[in-house]
Amino acid sequence: MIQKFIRELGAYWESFRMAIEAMRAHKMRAFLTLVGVVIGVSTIISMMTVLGGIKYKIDDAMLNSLGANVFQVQRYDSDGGISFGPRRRKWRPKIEASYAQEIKERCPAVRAVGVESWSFGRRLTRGGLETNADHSIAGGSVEFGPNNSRYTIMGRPITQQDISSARRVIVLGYDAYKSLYAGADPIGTFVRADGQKFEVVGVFEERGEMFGESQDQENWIPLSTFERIYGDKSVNLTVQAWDPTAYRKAQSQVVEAMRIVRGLKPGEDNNFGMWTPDLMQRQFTEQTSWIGVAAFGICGISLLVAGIGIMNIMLVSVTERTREIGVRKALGGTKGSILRQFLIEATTLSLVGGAIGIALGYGVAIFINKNFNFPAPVPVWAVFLATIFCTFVGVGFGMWPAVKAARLDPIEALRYE
Amino acid sequence: MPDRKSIIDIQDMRKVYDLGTIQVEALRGVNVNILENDYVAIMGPSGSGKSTLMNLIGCLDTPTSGEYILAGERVAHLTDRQLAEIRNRRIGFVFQTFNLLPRASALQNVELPLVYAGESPSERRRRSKEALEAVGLGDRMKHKPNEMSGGQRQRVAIARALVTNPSIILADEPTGNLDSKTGDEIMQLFEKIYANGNTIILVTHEEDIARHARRIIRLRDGLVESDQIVSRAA
Repeated sequence: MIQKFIRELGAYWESFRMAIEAMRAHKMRAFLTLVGVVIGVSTIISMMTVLGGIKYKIDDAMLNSLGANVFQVQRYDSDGGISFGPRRRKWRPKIEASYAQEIKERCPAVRAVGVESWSFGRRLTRGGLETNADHSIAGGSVEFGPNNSRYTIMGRPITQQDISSARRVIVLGYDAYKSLYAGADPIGTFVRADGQKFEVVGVFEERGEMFGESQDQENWIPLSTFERIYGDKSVNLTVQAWDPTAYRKAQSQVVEAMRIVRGLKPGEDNNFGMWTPDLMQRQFTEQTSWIGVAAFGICGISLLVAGIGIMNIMLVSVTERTREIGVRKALGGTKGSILRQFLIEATTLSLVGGAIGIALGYGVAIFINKNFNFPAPVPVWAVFLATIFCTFVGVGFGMWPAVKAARLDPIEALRYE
Repeated sequence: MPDRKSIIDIQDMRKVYDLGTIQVEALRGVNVNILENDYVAIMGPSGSGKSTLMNLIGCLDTPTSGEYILAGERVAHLTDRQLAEIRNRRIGFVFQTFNLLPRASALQNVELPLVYAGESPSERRRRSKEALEAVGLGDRMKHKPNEMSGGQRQRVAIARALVTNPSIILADEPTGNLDSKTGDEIMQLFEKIYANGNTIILVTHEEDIARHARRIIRLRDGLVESDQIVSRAA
């Protein structure tokens, strides 16, 4: 039994060795045949690796975008930052800062509710220095820091006292600190924004870039101060649950509380938006799924073309080696052994193409991801899938030539010139 | 020679080729009996049925009717698979055009029938080396066919035919592609193989070559025309 198995294995190894031999004898031909497989496989591997890298980055960013167990109530639904075509939004009432207290009272799973209001596209100045106009100023309650997982590396965060007395103080984002101070101690000095003067009390730690965009352009002032300068805008509520197990419960409690506050009847749509860190991940996955589908499409078509190429080359090979087939049969080769040999040759051809494709695709992905500073995790499932695909292509498209070879009449084959 | 066993017993063998509109009778009732350690030449002009008989003896084809007993086994009506196994075990082919695998070394070529016999790699190697040494090519094992002369190639082919220790060596015009000197050397090699106790069947149209055999069977129009012992010049 075991001996028979070893013998079988030996026969396969023999066929594999001969397949490699045949490829080496016709390097150019093998290479040209393999181009299709290489393109197909490298497409899918590179696409999947790049997508994996982006997703990893997003996951990472999302996990850090809000503090632990935090989600957000906002006026409109988030579009996840990636959107196509015009947006149509139905008008909704503002989110009021006063909702924070209501939510806290009505939702036992909620530990704290932060309030923040945003003004985007601002420029900060100090003496003759100025930042670009991409900075944003957030008026926030004391929860702003922890709920956005922003921590000061210099000075202190905004305090309740700053808010109560609407002090003109600011915690600078790392970018503003870099461009306005260049390493000098900013605490106690003054910056200007929108004609207002603020005393710097702290600096946020650096967060770095994502998709080439700085994440360090957010500056924090007290909510009360913000409202005096920019008016009573719709706010975002950052809601923190007590612990991870209460996270989902807190979300449903907040939805209920908001519906009561808004006086919505059962069956009426929510007229407020919710945003959780995993929402962006979900949206990203949805919006990039077509890339995956397209990659599979390209892969499928090139593997089809490659398969036809393999079939063609195998037919040529069978014709060229008609005599060899005759000899093999005369020496005791059965139909089965000839069939197996040509199938293994076709599959080896296809798998070698697949291996080159995996290497090339991964190389391309590393190159792309390096440029965007993403990690490039090897998509093991894609490698696995590509290998299975290639095996199917080899066996599927190699079948007809192999059957043709196996069916050759040994006398005719030996006589073939 | 009373104790020699019959190795080939062909009884009333017929072979008809159906070419659609016409039927060609290549063999019309052939009877041949070949004993162990015989050295037989089969001769005949083209169209005599010589090739058909050779293919049938070599188990590459099956007769339309008649019986063929090869080393005690009835092989006239076996399946493809069984015939392949018989060829592997019983018959050593030597072809006019050598028919070596071009990309394989001499050793790998000789190993091929043992691969199909399912021998282990070490056993294959050992026996193939022995066979190559027996034909005087112990120093050419790693050479590819295109690195060898015609005579050497045919020696590799003979080693390949001998390596399975078959019941018969079936040689089809083995000197047809060789010059006369090399051809003589090959015929001397056959003489040696014969002396070692092998059974050799030689298919040829050359009278000179046929005279190396001990017995000549002549075919004409699908029938045995004559079957005579070669008188050896003393």
